[in-house]
Amino acid sequence: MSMMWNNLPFDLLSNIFSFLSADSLAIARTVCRNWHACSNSYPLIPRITNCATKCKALQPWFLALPIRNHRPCCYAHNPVTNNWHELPLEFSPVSLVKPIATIGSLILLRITNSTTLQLVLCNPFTRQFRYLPNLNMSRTNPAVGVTLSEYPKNDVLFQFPCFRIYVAGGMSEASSQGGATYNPTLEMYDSTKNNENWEIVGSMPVEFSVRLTVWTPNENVNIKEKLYWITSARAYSVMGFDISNNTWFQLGVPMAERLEFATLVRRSHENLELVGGTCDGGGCIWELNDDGETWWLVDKVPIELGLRLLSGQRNWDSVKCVGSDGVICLYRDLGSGMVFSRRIGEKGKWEWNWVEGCGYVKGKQVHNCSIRGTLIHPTLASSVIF
Amino acid sequence: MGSPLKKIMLCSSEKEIFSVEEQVMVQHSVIINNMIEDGSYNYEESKIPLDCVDSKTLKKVIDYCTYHTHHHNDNQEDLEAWDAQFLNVDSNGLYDLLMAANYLEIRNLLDLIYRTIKNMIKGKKIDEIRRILNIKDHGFTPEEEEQNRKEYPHFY
Repeated sequence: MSMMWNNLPFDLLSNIFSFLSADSLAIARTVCRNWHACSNSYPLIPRITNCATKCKALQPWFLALPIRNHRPCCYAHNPVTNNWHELPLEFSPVSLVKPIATIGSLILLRITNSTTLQLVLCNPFTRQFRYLPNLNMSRTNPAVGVTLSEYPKNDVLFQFPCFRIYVAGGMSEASSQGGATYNPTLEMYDSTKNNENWEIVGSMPVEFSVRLTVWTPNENVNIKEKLYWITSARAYSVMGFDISNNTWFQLGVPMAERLEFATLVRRSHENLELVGGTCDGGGCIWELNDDGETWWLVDKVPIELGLRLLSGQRNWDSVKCVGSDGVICLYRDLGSGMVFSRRIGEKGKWEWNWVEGCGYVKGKQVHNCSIRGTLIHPTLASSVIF
Repeated sequence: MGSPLKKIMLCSSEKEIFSVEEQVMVQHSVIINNMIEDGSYNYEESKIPLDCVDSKTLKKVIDYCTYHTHHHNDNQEDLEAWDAQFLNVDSNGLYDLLMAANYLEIRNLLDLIYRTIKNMIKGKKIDEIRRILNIKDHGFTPEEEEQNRKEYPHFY
């Protein structure tokens, strides 16, 4: 009878595994050979849909990618154990990358030592990596947006995530006739299409393409059928694209002239939120009303946590922010602490917490560095997209 | 749905016969529900043979289905307390229940067992999990095991 748990049928075992957080799964899959085989061959569908907000084990991890890599690795904060881990990136053939979005358990990255946009997908936990195909038109510094289908419930779909990537604007390559121009078109990549190509799906007024190229960082928020980017041309404002009717629009933001940093986040599925800070007003979170034009203040960074984050400085210039389902994180660099806001309970309140920065990993000191952060649901399951 | 008064016969691996309210099994077991619905069960003569479920486990499964049929309106806390008490068995017993719930396709019991096993595993080190689940033969070669211990010392 001692042969039983190690010979559990894979369909049952994969169900049990799907309840485990990534760190527990990493251990479970090393318990015996069959469990290891199961974790490699069976699709493990994390139970995200039901209780992401209730259950701490299913909250996303904060992933810190150093901007200038002294060696190829990134750092991940596990919210369950409150530990930092170092994840080697030596499997990646490119070393200089910048995160643009997370797609479930994958990170969409752009390669930063090429001026024209080249995108790659990577899962740092399974060490999988691939290039996305080249765009139809070469573009320098375009805006990038991602739409993701809700977490699929069926195994096949989970292994093959359904998403679309939109690329808008950017500078064309200089031609023989003259200088580079702003590209007023939109290209789209659909992960569910077999042909593996980008398609030109729309265009925009030239002034929009200029703003998307010059003033827009790549972080993007998708809510329902709309994509939003923050732009920092003089005062902050929001650029938007409505996928359903192929139109572009602009939105003002509160305190636009005075914000020292501003980031768009999607804390819940319904509404766009804006996180920003001023030296006298502290860190604020506004939500876009249903009218799609006006904002209301929904939350503030607690004063003592804000002061600790700024560590003696008076302004919020150096603060960066990332947010997604149920979590917002404000950070400055790898070693300084971070401020997290997490939703407690299904409809409940948001709770603010301090998380120590990554100073040591397994007792070894980690040098502080500039980072870009992203939030990711870790998985050790292979995806067929690679 | 069968009439609440009707009974069906289940036969364990030891050939022991259990007579159960039809409704209790039909509500919980996909397999038995299908059998009754397609008319392949004869109330006069049939005994459903469950060759891979022993009497002790079958009795537990019937207890679970009976309780959840008659108490489904109880508050969540009471049900959870009952479930916790019900699954307070050793790892062999839990394994037998898992296999039986899987064979009979009793989805809420399966889900309960998955969660129980998850709670037994999560946050534990490998040596502990092996001890709890009585896994003596891990199937790795001595070289692989040594390599794993070297690579992930904090797992053990």
